[in-house]
Amino acid sequence: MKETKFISGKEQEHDLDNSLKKVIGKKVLSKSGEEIGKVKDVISKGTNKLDGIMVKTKGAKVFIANTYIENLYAKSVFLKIEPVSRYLKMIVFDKDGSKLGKVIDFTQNESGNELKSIIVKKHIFSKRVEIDAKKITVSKKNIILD
Amino acid sequence: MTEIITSDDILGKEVINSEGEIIGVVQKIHIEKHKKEIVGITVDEGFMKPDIFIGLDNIRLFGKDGIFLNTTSDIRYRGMKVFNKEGTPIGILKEVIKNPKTGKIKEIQIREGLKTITIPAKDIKSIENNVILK
Repeated sequence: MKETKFISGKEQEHDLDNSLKKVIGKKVLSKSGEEIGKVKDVISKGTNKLDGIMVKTKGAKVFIANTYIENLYAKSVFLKIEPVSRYLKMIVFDKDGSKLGKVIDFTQNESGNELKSIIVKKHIFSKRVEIDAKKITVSKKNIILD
Repeated sequence: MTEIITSDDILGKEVINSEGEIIGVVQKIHIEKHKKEIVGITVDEGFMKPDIFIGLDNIRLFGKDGIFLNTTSDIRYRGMKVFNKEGTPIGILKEVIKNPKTGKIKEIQIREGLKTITIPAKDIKSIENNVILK
């Protein structure tokens, strides 16, 4: 491979192995280590600032702002948070153990990563039901309501 | 009579642990033949996984669509991916060793290719959905 020529006065200050393009396709791990998806795109703010990453998750394409990213590593991206998008596709049970359906959508508070409500549907022809986040007691793997 | 359920209401139902994870389906109901009481259930965790017995003390609710537990088993840790502090996957969690007195994790064993390596608890940052090392 040909040697890279630098158009810069400070050649030693540039790390060419540190390309953001490398992050695309890498796994994205939440704070608890859950694999939430893969990096689809890297979004910049202006010319030299990372705004966030676009992540392809099991339920949707999710933009995660730079402030929620802990670090961009060579093999994966670590987040500082458990993103609200992780609720998508979770199964919802009521307190009596009846299955209400799956989470197909959610609403958030202004902070961006605080769940306000989940939208649940049992099957394709059933009605959408909105459930207040305050009713959720368990939400690690699936959702159990109070 | 509405409080009485039959074996049909239990067998084949999904079993959900305290984290909401579906761990398998009820395969058997165990009855103590002298006291004539249910003592627990056997859960089929799926292909190539061992069946597990769950005592009645660990069952919170016999629900309409599932059996809810009040616990999570340590078995759930097995098979978790282990990432080093730079986010590189370095192996698969094989076993969690706990201190028998405190119940806290003492060390974990990781399968790294053909090798098994032991990591002390002090080097673990988090162990929830996967393992992240410090």
